[in-house]
Order: sequence, then C-alpha cells, then structure tokens
Amino acid sequence: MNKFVWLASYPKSGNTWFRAFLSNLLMDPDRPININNFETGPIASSRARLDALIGYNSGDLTDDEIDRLRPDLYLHEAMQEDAPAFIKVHDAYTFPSNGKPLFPLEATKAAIYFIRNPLDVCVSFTHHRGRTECQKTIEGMRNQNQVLAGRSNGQSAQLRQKLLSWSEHVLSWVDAPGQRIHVMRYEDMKLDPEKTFSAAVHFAELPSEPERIRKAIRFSRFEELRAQEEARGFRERPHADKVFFRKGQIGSWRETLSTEQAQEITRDHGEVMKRFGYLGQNGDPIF
Amino acid sequence: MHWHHYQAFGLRIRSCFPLPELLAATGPEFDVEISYDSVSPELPGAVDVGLRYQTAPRRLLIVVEGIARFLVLEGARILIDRCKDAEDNAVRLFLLASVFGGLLLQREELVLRGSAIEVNGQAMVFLGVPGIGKSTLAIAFKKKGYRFLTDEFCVVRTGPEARRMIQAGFPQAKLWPDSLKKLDLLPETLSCVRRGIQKRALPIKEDFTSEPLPIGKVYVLSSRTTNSVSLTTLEGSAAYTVFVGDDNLSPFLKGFGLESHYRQFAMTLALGTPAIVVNRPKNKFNLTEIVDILEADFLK
Repeated sequence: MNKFVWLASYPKSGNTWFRAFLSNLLMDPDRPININNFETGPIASSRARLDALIGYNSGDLTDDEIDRLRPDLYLHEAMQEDAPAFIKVHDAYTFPSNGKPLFPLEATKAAIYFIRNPLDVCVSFTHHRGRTECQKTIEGMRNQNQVLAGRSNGQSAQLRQKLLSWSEHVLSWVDAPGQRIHVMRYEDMKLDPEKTFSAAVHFAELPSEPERIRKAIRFSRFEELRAQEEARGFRERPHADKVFFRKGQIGSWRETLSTEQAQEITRDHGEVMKRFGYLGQNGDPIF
Repeated sequence: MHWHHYQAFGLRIRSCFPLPELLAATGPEFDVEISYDSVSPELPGAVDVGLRYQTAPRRLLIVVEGIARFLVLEGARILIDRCKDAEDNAVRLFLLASVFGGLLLQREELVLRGSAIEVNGQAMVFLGVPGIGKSTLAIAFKKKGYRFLTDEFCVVRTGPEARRMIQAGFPQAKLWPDSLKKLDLLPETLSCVRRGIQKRALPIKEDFTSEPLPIGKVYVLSSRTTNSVSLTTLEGSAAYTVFVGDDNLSPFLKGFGLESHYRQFAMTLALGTPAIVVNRPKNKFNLTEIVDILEADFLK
C-alpha cells in the first residue's frame, strides 16, 4: 500500500530537473532520456488521473469536492501499484477531508521536498507565467490563499492546487506529521550535485552505483535539458512560457529584483529562509 | 405515479420527475425508465470497483457524494437514491452525463465522448479531452447556421445499408464562461449547471436536428506546442486509437464485460470513417481560425 514517493515543491524549485535525473537513473540509458518521456507519469493534480477513476466528469464538481476525493484517489492508485512510484506534486500538504491529509500516509512511502531560494523562485516563476514584472509574484508568494489552476471560468487539465504562501508551502511539507521527508536544496543540487543527488538516491532506496549516479547527473544537466527543449519542445511547458528551462542559475534575482522587492521577500519569508540557510546572521541573502 | 415522457439518443424515456433538458415525447411506450428508489452504496457482485463507481455485467452504480447514488440496470432502468439536500439540476447534471452514458454502454452502443453537428446531411463529430473545446466548436458552427446534433455523447448505431449513424442527443450544450465569451454569448444570461460551478447550460432552441445522421468525418481536437492550426489525417491503427483511446474507452466497459465487443465495433467504425486530428497551439484557441479551416475541410 505504501507505494508513492511524492516529489513535492513550490513551482520552479528543481522538481523537473530531479525527475530528469531520476528517469536517467532508473532507465540507465546510453543517451539522455527524452525530456518528454519522463518515468514519473503525470503530476498528482492531473485531472485525467481522477476522471479515469471516478466514473464521471470532475469538471462537474467544485474544487473543494474534488479535494475531498483526492486522498481516496491516491489510496486507490497505491493499491494498484506493484512497485514504488514517483509522483510530482505542487500542492501544499493540506488536510481537506475530515483531518485526512491530501496525500494519505497509507499511500506514501516517502517524500522528497525541493526547496529553492525564494528570491530566485520569484524571478523564475514570473517568467514561467509569461510575465516580466515580479511584483505580482511577490504578492502571490505572500498570499496564504494562492492556488494553481484555480480558474473558475474554464476547465484546466489540472485540478486546483492550493499552494498557500511560499513559507507555508515549505512548512506544510517539511513539518508534515508522520511523513518521511528528505529535503533537497536547489542550490546544493547545483553546487554539489554528486553528494546531493546521491543522498536522495539512498533515501529513496534507488540504484546507487556511483558511476550510474554520475551518468544520470550528466544526462540531466541544465544545458542538456535546455538543448532538448530547443530541439523538440517540452510538453510540460505552460501556455505562457517561452521556454521552460530558462536560466537555471543561482542568484539571478540580483539582476532582476529591485532592492525593495528583495527586502519585501526576505521580510515575508525571513524565518523559513533562515531555517534553510538562505539568510545569513545579519539577515542578508546568502545566494 | 405521474410519468414524464422524453426522447434522446433514439430512445424513449419515461421519468418520474421532469427533465426539461430533453425533447418531450408522446405515447406511453418507453425504452428507459428513470425513478427514485433506495440504492445500496455497494453493488453486490461488482466485477470492477473504481473510486466512485462499481460495475458488473449490465449493472452500474455511481456515487456522487452529496448528490445521489445512481443504479443503472440492464440498459433499461435508472434508480436514483437522492441525497436530502441535493438540488434538482445537480441530480440531472450527473444523470444526463455519465449515468446515461453508462446506460447506453449497457445497451451495447458505441458511445464517443464528443459533440456533433450536421453538414450537408452528414454528422461531423468533434472528439478530444475534456476542456479542449468540443462543445465550443459545435456551438460556433451552430451560430454559422449548421444544425446541432449532440453534445457530451455521440452514440453510433448501424443504420440502413450498414451505414454508421450518429444519434441525436438532446438540445443542450454545456459551456464555461471563457467559451461563451469566445462565442459572444453572455454567461450572465444562462443558468449554472449546478450551484458552485460556473459552467452554463445553453439550451438549443432552434437548429436542433433530432434525426440520426450518417457519419461524415471525425475531428479529434488536440493542443500542443505549435504556433499554428493544422490538420493531420489519421490512417490505419492511428485512426482506431481515436475510438478506443483513453478518452473514449469508458472505465465501465471492463465490468460490463463489453471491452472486446466495443473494440470490435470501434475497429469497423475506424475502417470506414475519415479521422482527422486538429492540432492547435496550446496557449491559443483561435475559434474563428479553426472554424474556417474545418469549414473548408468539410467540403473536401
């Protein structure tokens, strides 16, 4: 029953990068895996996932009604799985139904949570949504009611996902009661990939031969992902985004955010940023 | 009991409560009866148990929390155990969609999820995943003067000279406000399909054809990372997958024991039916452009 490893993150925090690594690790291919054929299947919030199992159109349900169904969906799916499966998640860890978590413990093997400096998240998420000005993203990352795919005027291919504020999203997962969690910082994935990815591999009980891990890291380098996207597109690219794999750099916020905007973010999320090593003793950003 | 008589999908229906979405019928004969009754939350002898449905040969249970439990029997009876606070339109919403779709499958019909219009005496069918624009397209063509045949389901039946015919559904389409705006229709003037859902019920007051029509072409709407609209004709097994892909192979078929029957029927349909994929940009649904391209293709 405990089959799922949730790959959870706020958007633009390294989740897709890790899935590219994971696919290359699991398949152990001679050439990099096609980015449109990841081994991890659809995101947890895929509407098709739910519609295939409830027997009616989820578009005829309210978002709250769907949230109350989702824990049963994952329990049902976990019962059908023979082996552990990795599922991408952008939802915060919430409790929509009578105190039952959205991602039930009985369906869960473990969770890997990807965290990234919210200053860089802000810039990347802004571009991801087809915007150039970061202020709305800053406000969204502060908003405790922030959602993805929450439009009421049309039907999205994804179910509504409660993100909460950036800080709440992080805490909802890393402090989730009873969950076995491994936290990966984007910056560590970038600066010390072998050590960081190896730790995740051991946590998730994946094939851990050092050469295999090194090859999977090489095959999922940012430059490789970007080249593939340029050559043949990326089906997970959102509608407004020009490219999904845009820069992938640490600290690119310094070129984009004003001093005031950076201060606003550190004021909103300072506590969580300190806890995960994004602010120094003097309160200045580290990356 | 006072019965209300209707017709849809070539069937005569009698119901113990009004179904204003359907065309009224006269005469006491009926193929399908809809009534209220007590329905158990479990289907005895269920062969397939989904998240909120259970199936066995010629039996289907659908549970919609807070609305009703629906039991469909022998392709001829629908029993509804309605929740105390459920609103009429919410019960009808699920009844006339998946519940009725399950009944049609029990009758061994080929049921495609899509909409259809009439073009020169033939049915042009639009298929695709939920939210892709099937209903929007049907209404866009209706606005151009084409007659509306069905929304939600296209029931395929064998007609004279073994021709594959699309049965008329009922005169209503369901559209989200974003689609209504594309069609220059005001969402505020239409009723929501149920409380809390912004999707609207659009009654088709005229230009509805209630006669079955032979299939002309099947268009599969698809969105991808492309910059322009294009048409791709499907051949051989690719055409077959249109009819038995995940979007059209109902999860109910397994428990009904009808999967192979359905696949066989779909195979014969695929052999004689032109199937065309309509590729459109993921981020842009230019309705006018698609309508123009398809209108030109209708005549080919």
